[in-house]
Amino acid sequence: MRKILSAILVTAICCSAVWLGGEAVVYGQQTTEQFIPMGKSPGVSGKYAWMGEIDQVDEQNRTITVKTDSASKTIKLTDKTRIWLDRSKQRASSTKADFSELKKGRKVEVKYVKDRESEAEWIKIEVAQ
Amino acid sequence: MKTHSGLFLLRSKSISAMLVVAAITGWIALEFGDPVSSQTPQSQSQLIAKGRNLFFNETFNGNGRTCGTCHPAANNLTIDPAFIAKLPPNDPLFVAEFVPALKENFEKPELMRKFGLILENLDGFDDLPNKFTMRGVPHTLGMRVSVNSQAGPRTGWSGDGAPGDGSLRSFATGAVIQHFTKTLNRVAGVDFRLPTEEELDAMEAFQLSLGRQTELALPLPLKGEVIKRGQVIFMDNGLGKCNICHFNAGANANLPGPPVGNFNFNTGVEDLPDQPGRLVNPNIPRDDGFGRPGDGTFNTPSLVEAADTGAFFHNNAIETIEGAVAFYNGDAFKNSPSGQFLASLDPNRIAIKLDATQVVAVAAFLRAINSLENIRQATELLEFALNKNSPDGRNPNQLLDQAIRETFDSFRVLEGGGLQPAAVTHLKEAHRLAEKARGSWLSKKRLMREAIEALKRGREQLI
Repeated sequence: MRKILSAILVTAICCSAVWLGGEAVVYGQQTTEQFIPMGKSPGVSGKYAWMGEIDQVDEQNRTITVKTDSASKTIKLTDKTRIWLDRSKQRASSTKADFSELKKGRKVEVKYVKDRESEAEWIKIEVAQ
Repeated sequence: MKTHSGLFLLRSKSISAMLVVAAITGWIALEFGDPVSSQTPQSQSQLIAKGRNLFFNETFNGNGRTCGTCHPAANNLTIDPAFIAKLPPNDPLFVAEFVPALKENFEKPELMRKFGLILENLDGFDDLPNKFTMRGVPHTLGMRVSVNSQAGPRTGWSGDGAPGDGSLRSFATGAVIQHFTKTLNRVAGVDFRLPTEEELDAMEAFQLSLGRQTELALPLPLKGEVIKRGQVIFMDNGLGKCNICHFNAGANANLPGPPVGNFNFNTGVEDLPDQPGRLVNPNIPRDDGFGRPGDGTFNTPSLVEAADTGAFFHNNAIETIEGAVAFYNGDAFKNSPSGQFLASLDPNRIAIKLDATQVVAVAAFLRAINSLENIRQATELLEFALNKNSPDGRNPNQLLDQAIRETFDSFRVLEGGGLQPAAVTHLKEAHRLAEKARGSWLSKKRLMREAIEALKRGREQLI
């Protein structure tokens, strides 16, 4: 009887994993990401993030089109997309930014959301020297 | 003749002296040999050795801290108030006390010294005075079997400790930015340098080499009535319910289907009344756990290494392993999402309810498996030292030092629970022999062999 109860318990826990928080997707502790210069994010830069120059900005649809070395990519920003000004070339601290800083000609690194390549998780904007 | 005799005598003495010197030299070579690192040319060993050196010695041009500042080898790769109290005032752990740029909003020195708590800006750096959490330092043992999950790697107390791809490899980058910086500007190339790709590889390899490389397979044929009963309660999914989330006393959950690995739960630790840290500073913000903003969940730590690495939980809320087990009897757990869920499945609507004897029994079981892991490690280290076959570049004396510490812990965790006095006697003898070996030139190997035998006898009293 105890074994049956145990089996029921374990099965129920499995079914309720989402509720317990176990299935939350791990994105990594992104708060220190703010201070990692463009192109240096470990395991991300060059793999799940790409760099390029902003070619178009669509404020209404909250999208930007970025020219990379090999293609032109359009990516959507959501409420969860974080934007930072990367001032490392000025030897200054990176700061939070907003959509208005995304302007044609600016160099950016874009990390896309896992399994949703058209959606930005974060964007770093280069502040030149 | 006299001259000849004298010359012969002189030659004879010289030859004798040379023989003695040669014998001593030969003995020294036999006892100590070449540095172990020169005998482990395999690339993995070299990578681990490089990672070890970085972990304990590299400051990344920051404030003087290394990874080993908070994860010292001399204290099971974690810190606690007793260890902290022995450090000199200029130890880099205390940079907030003597570096003006780090005086405010970098650490909370009183909480560090009293409870081993470290400041983390897990919800961002835009409001440093008000947005922070205070967390204990988890050990880095058994990472090989505790980091992976179905949803990706889980590092740190809430499973989201690393920037970049969130992996253990990337963890060092976030740690340098959070803890190594010279100023709160946190500018790479100014306040610190970021680890290179090669350094991240090496530090990951080193961390994965620490402690257990495999899971236990419970139940173990343990000795001692209380310990055995503790194991039964631990594994009983209708009573202790421990083995569901801490399968095989590790960090992974035990659910039907494919292995899920490490899991996050909201067990209500943040709702505990009278948390030590908040008794000193009632304004410590609530730690919201995984994510930003957090969902209140924290990941599951391994229990095999728990008994000698307290305090317990992400906020060092509970000092003893018995208290940590008893936590699951309290209202904080009962009213938490995890507690309520367990209760909803229980015929008597009870989350977990253990009487005092049962709490002590589960803790006794945890003390016993911790001691067994200490014995395993100490024996392995002594054998490496004897065979000059270190997997990570340490020389025999360094290996012996670590073996001494593991042996000490092996009886300390048993004594703390009044368990298996016969085992304690043998393990104390092993400790005495290992310490004697450390100071011996003539009998080093013999003493190390005898220490291994004493460890074996101690182990036989446990399993």
